[in-house]
Formats: sequence, C-alpha cells, structure tokens
Amino acid sequence: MQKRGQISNLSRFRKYRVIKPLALAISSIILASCSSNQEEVYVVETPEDCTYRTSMSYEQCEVAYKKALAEAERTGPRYDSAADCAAEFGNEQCHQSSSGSFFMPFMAGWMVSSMMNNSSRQSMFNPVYKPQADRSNSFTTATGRPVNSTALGKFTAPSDAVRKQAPTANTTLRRGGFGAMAASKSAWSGSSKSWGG
Amino acid sequence: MLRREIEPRKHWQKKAEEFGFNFHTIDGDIYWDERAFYQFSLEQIEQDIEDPTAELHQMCLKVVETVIADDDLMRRFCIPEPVWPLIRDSWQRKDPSLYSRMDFSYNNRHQAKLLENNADTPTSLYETGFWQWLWLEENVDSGVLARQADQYNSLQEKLINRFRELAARYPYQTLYLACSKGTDEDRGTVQYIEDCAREAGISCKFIFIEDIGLSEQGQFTDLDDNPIEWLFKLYPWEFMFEEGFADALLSSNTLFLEPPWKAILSNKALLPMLWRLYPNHPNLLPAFFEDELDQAADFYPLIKKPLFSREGANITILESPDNIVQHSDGPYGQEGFIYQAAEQLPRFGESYTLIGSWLIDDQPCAMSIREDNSAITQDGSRFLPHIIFG
Repeated sequence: MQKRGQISNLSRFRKYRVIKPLALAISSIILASCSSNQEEVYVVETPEDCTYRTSMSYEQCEVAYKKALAEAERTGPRYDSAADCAAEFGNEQCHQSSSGSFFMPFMAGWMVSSMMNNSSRQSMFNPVYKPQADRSNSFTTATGRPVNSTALGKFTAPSDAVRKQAPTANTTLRRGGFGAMAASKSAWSGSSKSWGG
Repeated sequence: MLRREIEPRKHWQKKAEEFGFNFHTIDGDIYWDERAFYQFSLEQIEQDIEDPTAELHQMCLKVVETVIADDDLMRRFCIPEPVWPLIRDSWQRKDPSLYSRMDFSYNNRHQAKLLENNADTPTSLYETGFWQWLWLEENVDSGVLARQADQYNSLQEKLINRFRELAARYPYQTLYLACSKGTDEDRGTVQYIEDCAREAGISCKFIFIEDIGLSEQGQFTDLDDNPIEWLFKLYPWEFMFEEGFADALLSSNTLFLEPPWKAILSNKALLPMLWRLYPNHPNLLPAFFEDELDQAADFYPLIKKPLFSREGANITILESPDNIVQHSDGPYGQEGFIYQAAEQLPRFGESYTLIGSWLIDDQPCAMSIREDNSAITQDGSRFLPHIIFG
C-alpha cells in the first residue's frame, strides 16, 4: 500500500506570487461569503411577545428571556460613561452594569431561531440592540452583526450569531505575560533559534 | 536503510522562495540538504518505525495517566503545583492533541530506540509534511527517481483531516496561532499549520506570544481585545507555566493546542517513567532519575539530559560516573536531570543520523531524517529527504 498521502491544493502553500493585500482581500471575501450564511429568526421583546410569535410555551419563553438577559449582561456593548452609551443608543436607553464599572444599552429583544427546536437546554437566545443610527427595521448583535427584517415580520441574522454564544466583552489590562523565558534564553544563545524541538 | 547521493534539483532555491520556505539555510549553514537521501524498504518502515511508534504512543499515554494521578510524580516532572489542575482537567476532558514527533536511533541492524518524545512543540513539520513530499514529486516527474519510489509521509493529509475533525467539534471557533518573535523557523512552522487549518475550513488569526493580552475578565485577548478562545502555541508549556500569565491559564476558558497534558510527554522525565512501567521493552533505552543511579551501573555510558532541554542543549555524555566525554552548553538544567543509556547514532560517512517519527493525534504518519556532524543532534543539523523503494 502506498505510504505517501495526497496533497491536493498546492496553491494554498504557494506564497511568492501572492501579493499580500490581495491575499487579504481574497480571504476577506471568502470570510464574508462564509459568514453570509444567513438564518431566519424571530426577534421578540418580552415573554408574552415570545409566546405570541413563536411556537414556544410561556414557561419556555420565560426561561429564554432570563437567558437572554444574562447573555446581555455578559456580552453587551460597554461604555465608560452614560453619555458615551447614550450617544450610540439614545437617552434613557442605557443602564449601569451590575458590577457598576460601566454603562450598557438595554437589550432591545432577543433572537429565537425559526428553524431549530428551541426547547433544549443548550438553545441559544442571543440579545439584539438598537443603535440610534440604524434604520428602523433592523437590530444588531452585541458584536455588531446585522439582524435585518424580511417582509413577513421575521428577521435574518448570520447563523453563527444565532447559534453560537457571543464572546465575553473584554478590556485588556496588560500584555507581555508570555514570552519572557524565550527572551532570557535567547540572550544566552545569541541567535534566533527555534523554541520548538 | 541506505544513504544515496543525488543531484540537487536545479532551481530548488527558487522553488523554496515560491513556497515561502525561507529557513532552508540557517546562519549561512545548510539546513535543507538534498545532496543525498535515505532509502528504506517498506518492511523497515512498517515493522521498525510505524508499528513501534503507535505502540510507544499508547505507552506514553499510560505514563500521562500514571503521573497525573500521583502528586509525587507531578513533582518529579517539575510541574509547578499551581498548574496541576490545568493539566489534570485537560486530561480528564480529553482535550484533543494535534501532533507529536518521536526521535529514534535506528539502523537496519538494530531496533529503533526512543531517544525522546517532542510532543508539545515539535518543529520541522513543514519540511517533513510538505517540502520533502514536493522533492519526491519533482524528482519522479523529471525521471530522476523511479515512478514506484514512495515516501512514508501522509502527514499533510492527516493533519488537514485532523483539523476537519476539530472544526466539527468546535464550530465557528477562530483558531489563533502563536509563536515567539524573532524566529523564522517557528514562524514558518506556524504558517504551515495555519495553511492546513484553513484548508480544513477553519478561520485563523496569527498573534505573537508576546502580544497576547489578559482582560479584566481573565480571558486572553488579541491586539483588538477579542477573546482568544482557541490557541495553537508553538511555545513550550514549561515556559508558560513559569511566566507572568501562568495564573491566568486557570481562569481563561482558552482551549489549547497542544493541550496542557502534553507537558507530561515533552518532559524528559517521561523516559525513566517509561522504563519503570515497561522495563526492557525493545524500543526503550534504560533510563533513570538522578536518585535511581545505583540501578544504572551496568548501563554506562549514560547521557545526562536536563528535564526541559531543547535542540540538544546542556547534554552531557558520561563514560563512567566521573568521566565526562562530551558536553554541550545551554541555558537549561536548573530543573534537574535524567540519565539515559547512550545509544550511538548510526553513522553514514561523516554524519550521525537521527530518525523523527511523526504522529497526528495517535496515528503514525511520516518520517523525517536529520544528520549532524556531532553525536548530539542540535538545532543546526541538516534535514534530508527519504524514499521507500523495494
């Protein structure tokens, strides 16, 4: 039996003829087309609204609402001042985070997939927001992904924004916590050696 | 196992440039060396390299299981106590591994003997999986080598398939890839891994290990403050355990490649542990901890190796308990040493030859050959291609 495997796409590994910005442009087109994987969702504002629009029971909708609120607290946009937040989301549209250290917009509603069975404990109910600048019939996710209306009172959103948990909002406090050992040991060898083996 | 000279491909340097292989010459010395190749029979590959590699890997996993369950052994492996939970959790969760390289001393007259296991940060991956593959392809196409010449090398195919499995397991995750600044070789290896991950449909971002940030929520972040949830790091675990962000390893939810449990395998204490669990195994060399040297009397000469040494640094050869024959310098060794029976590397002409046997997860898949003018293989040793013929 042959012991040598296949290499099917040599061009992926060719670097020379690819000019950098072009490569970036191509990869962002690919990314854009991957992420354009859209999915139909309902956007609901309250447990009552959720019961009315979706096939979920009131109890399920209440659970979903609590989940969405917790997600909003964890992942929502953060601002240092109430004024900064209001500038984006409007007056009276922001509140102080429960930790008290920043200001966040109220969630405008949350997404319920129209394609999935939403009763499992793993179901995602990601919050959406309404920036002032956006047109009336649309929302955005915590990370700024668009959620646009379709004709039938439903919305479309990127699949991963519906089904995947958004990342925790981060403020980086410090960098450079890794790499010190390599720096001290390369001072010994004087040349740029591999840290592999 | 034969060494054969061959005419280097015309314009191969140009080819290297085209494919971005820019560390074929290191500090002016030849690293990629296609003035010769090694030839093996299929039987040698399958019985002497591939099968023992699969078996040794399973034995190594047994060592991980044993060490993780035993605080005294964790201490012997010099793993700092604060990161024990990180390692234990990653093992209990069965965090997936990507790849390893075992180094063997082998020639056709003797069984392959395991010298060490580079299970955390193996390099020469690109040269093995891609570049020597292309060397054979072109030499067969131009009629220099016979059409039926084969190579023990399904590394790239298996690596991409492994990434496809991981992509299915962690959908929508961005894979961050990191190495240290200022090393072309590591940057090249990481680029290759990124290319393979992209080929499997994973979205990837590169970051230097020095640029990783820590957020107030205890997450590792990239330069735009995005959380790093999945990180391939070509940077040793034993360094990360000692550095400023060591505590944050526990609070972050980052999934690492290689997983933290690999720190047990890349540690030279693996060698005396294997000998303890599998004494006299035909693919093992006798190996001992410092306080077991009374059992080593029959096995001189011994090689004294630091637990965490890399690329042949700080190695001492002991002819007898107090006769040092050869010594290599380096910045390692504060953490202690192990002793392994010396196995003379086979010599072909002026060169000592070392076999690297690769695995993707637990699947043996490829071989690499290094030659050195010294009996201790170091960073500057040359990489030669191989074929299977007959």
